[in-house]
Amino acid sequence: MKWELRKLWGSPMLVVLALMLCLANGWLYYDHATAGNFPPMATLYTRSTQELEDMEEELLERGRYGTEIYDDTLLTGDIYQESRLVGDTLERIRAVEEFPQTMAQLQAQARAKLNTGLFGTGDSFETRSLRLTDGVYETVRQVQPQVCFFGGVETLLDYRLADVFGVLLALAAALALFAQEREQGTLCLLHPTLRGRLSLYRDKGLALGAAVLFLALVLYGTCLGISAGLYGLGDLSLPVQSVYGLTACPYLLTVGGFLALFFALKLLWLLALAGLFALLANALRSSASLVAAVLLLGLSFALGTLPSHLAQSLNLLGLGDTYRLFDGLLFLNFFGLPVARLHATLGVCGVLLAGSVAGAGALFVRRSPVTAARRSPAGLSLGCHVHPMGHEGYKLLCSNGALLVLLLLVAVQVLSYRDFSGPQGPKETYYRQYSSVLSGPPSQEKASYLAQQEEKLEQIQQQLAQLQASAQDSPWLIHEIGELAQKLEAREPLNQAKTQYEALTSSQSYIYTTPYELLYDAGGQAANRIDLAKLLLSLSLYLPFFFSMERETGVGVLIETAGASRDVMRRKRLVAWLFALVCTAAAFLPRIVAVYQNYGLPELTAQANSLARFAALPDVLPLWGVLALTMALWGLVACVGCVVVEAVSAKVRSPLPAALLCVLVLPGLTLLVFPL
Amino acid sequence: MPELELRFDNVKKNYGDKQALRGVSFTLNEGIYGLLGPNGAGKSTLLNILTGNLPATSGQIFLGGEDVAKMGRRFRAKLGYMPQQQTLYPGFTCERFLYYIASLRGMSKARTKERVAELLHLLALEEVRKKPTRALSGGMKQRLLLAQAMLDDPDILVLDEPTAGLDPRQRIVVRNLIASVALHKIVLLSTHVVPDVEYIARELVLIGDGEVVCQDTPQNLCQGMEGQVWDVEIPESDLDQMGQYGLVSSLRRSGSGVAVRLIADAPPPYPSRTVEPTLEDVYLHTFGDEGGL
Repeated sequence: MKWELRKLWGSPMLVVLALMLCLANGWLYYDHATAGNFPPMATLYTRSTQELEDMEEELLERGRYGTEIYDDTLLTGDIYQESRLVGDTLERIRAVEEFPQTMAQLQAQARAKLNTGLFGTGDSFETRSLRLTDGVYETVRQVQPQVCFFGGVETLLDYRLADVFGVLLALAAALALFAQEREQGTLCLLHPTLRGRLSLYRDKGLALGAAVLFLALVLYGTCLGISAGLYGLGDLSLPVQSVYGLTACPYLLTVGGFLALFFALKLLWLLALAGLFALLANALRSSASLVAAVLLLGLSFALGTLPSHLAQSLNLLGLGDTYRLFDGLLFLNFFGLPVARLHATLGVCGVLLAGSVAGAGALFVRRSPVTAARRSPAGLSLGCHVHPMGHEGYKLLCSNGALLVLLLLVAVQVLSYRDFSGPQGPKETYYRQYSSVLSGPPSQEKASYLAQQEEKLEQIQQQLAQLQASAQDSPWLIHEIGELAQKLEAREPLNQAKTQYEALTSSQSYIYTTPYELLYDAGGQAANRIDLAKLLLSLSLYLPFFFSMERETGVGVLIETAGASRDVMRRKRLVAWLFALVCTAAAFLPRIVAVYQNYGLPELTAQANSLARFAALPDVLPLWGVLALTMALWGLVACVGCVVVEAVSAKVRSPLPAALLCVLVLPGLTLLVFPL
Repeated sequence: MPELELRFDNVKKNYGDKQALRGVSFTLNEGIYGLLGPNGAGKSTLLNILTGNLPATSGQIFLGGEDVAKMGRRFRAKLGYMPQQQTLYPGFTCERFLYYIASLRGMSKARTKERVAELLHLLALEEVRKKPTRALSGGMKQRLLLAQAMLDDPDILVLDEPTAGLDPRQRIVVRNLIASVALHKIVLLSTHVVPDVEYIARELVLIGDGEVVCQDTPQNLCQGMEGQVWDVEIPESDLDQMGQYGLVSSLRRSGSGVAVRLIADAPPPYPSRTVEPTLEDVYLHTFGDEGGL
């Protein structure tokens, strides 16, 4: 095994990748842990509930008069923020103090559902689940959680970047140990040795396991260390229900026991994934196994968005969401049998690990180390042409799996924005109604319409005041009062529409702002960055294999002899840019389409500066121009990404390390330069 | 049409301190030339420089008196190259690969169609024309690489180990094919298999330690060794002593003793007779004292 480990750690690229990911993990975790309001909250936890309640009351009083908003003696320096912070802290403390009541309520709900018979009868899954739920909460009721600040533990719970880095490193290690060696041809030397294939496989498997465990310990250990350093881990002997976010945990565990189990499950999950990657690496070539792994992870992401507990919990990514195993009780329906999510996760991880290890072993031992000549069905005569661009396009799309990457990106994006929703409710509905009338250039009719609407609301206001005055004697008027009050909710949207309308110049148009705000406000920009990261991730994973194709296959020698190296490289670059532009459309259009389906994109030909957000833009630029420019900008970024991938591929001569390096550099850079 | 002439003029190549080529000069005219030499002699370096895959440290190559470096594309248009490594796109079918090379060489579709059909037939690849190259056997890949080198009917055909991996029948077919197309071409064929060039080569260029050792016709090379190759009958116990009389070319059991083919200037002190030299004897005589393998 030590020789296999030496092979792994002897690979400079893998070591550099591991180092960079571990450092990035530490940095990003520190950012994550200090981003919230935990530092001042830790101070507030030292005070009693009564003191906090008094503080909250005092802050509310000061806020009501609004005379002194800023106060350096406060932890946050701002009475409103301080008020929210104290409120949050009190809510957390109350959640722990009211634990017995919460448990009793959950148990009562389960019993009520059971007794009504509405949620299943006899031995149905629902009935069995409810019976089990009742039993579980009966046991947990005896737990006595205590108020203690567990900020260090809480920051660990929802941080999943360490998981991502762990998966990436497990994939790199599995490919390096299995796929790369097969492709380099060294397996041909190792297989016939005296020790035999099985012992070689065992050594490789153990080395992979050891490497994954070591890297996982470094990644999660870093997080734990930073947490402990920043906030401490609290009293580890207290029941886990003392941790905010875990008050509904259905297991009798101490905080220390929970942490041990939390990390043990993460390790088991990473080992199972490493086994799966080893299986893929034994079954496919390295480029194909990388694409297959990405495809599986993408599919898992898509499954996670489905409205099914089974799909959400037991996909490859969901299995690693260890926090969700403890934050409440959830039974999964296994052919009518209720299985707790924790047990199901353990079982699936175990089966995945054992199956992958056995499958990879069988392939390793039985399969010829020489890359087998695979039979493929005869193709059409599509290649019988002499258009060089056509051949380069074929190399990209069909010969090297770009189509798969593109389809995966489309699938991920479509699923991501399938259930897209923006602002809703009566206010939005009123605003949309006003906007549909006001839409377009300003006119006398529209100004009159606004005045009419204002007058109408004024009348409603007067009616409401009259009804309220007489309501004390006539309680049956409450219903009418409610209806009028509801109608008055139109006042705020009307004011918004009026302000917007009055700010227009004669050449500008009134535009329903919601869809454009969704695309360009802070939330929209954050979504754009995530989409950009997905786009660059797709390009990083695929293009290194495309750019190094000539070197890897040796055909570059023939191309050089034909004097066509520069031409081929130029065409490849062009094809890669076209691919990047198609990927850009695949990454960004689904969101625009989702916004369009929900809110429409009105007045696309109107001047963009009609919207306050684009007030600085020149008159000649219409809204469609802004959309087109935005897409062009992302397309340009994607093309720059292609240039970076090409440069990295030229420097790092092997495509797999180049792909991993690009994965780290490009999407990582996007998220670091444009933090969410 | 004037006869083609390819001239290497003092071509040198250094890898750091190591001199891979120490000033190689020779001239080739139309016909087949065998480039023979042990591993590491500089054959592949020379072919890579000729095909533009490696820059020379100094020296020039002239085609018809014109520097090929200055000819650029005009020279490459006349060049067909079959490398030693099986360099193919695994996802391309045989046919697509040939069409791709044709597109790089700027051939018209009609001519490509004609040449592809012809070469696939000549090299017995018709049945696998729609198969991806990854599904081909080593011999098929070798023939496909030969086909791409000959696709544009180049004036200069550079073949690096063209018969490696072929069975004896295919080897003869390929050898004859090369001989048949070489009428108005310069074919430079690098090989370790001496019989491949023995019958078809106009001249052999023997290259060793980065230098041209000699260049002559196979007949002249063999004639030059007449009287130096001996068939010697010795007892088995004396086999170890043969090294002091000359180079052992081959040996076989003969009756109670061993029959040794010996290359030596003088007859050994055993019953012996001179035999006709072969190119293998020439090769061994030229490079035999370079030690080991």
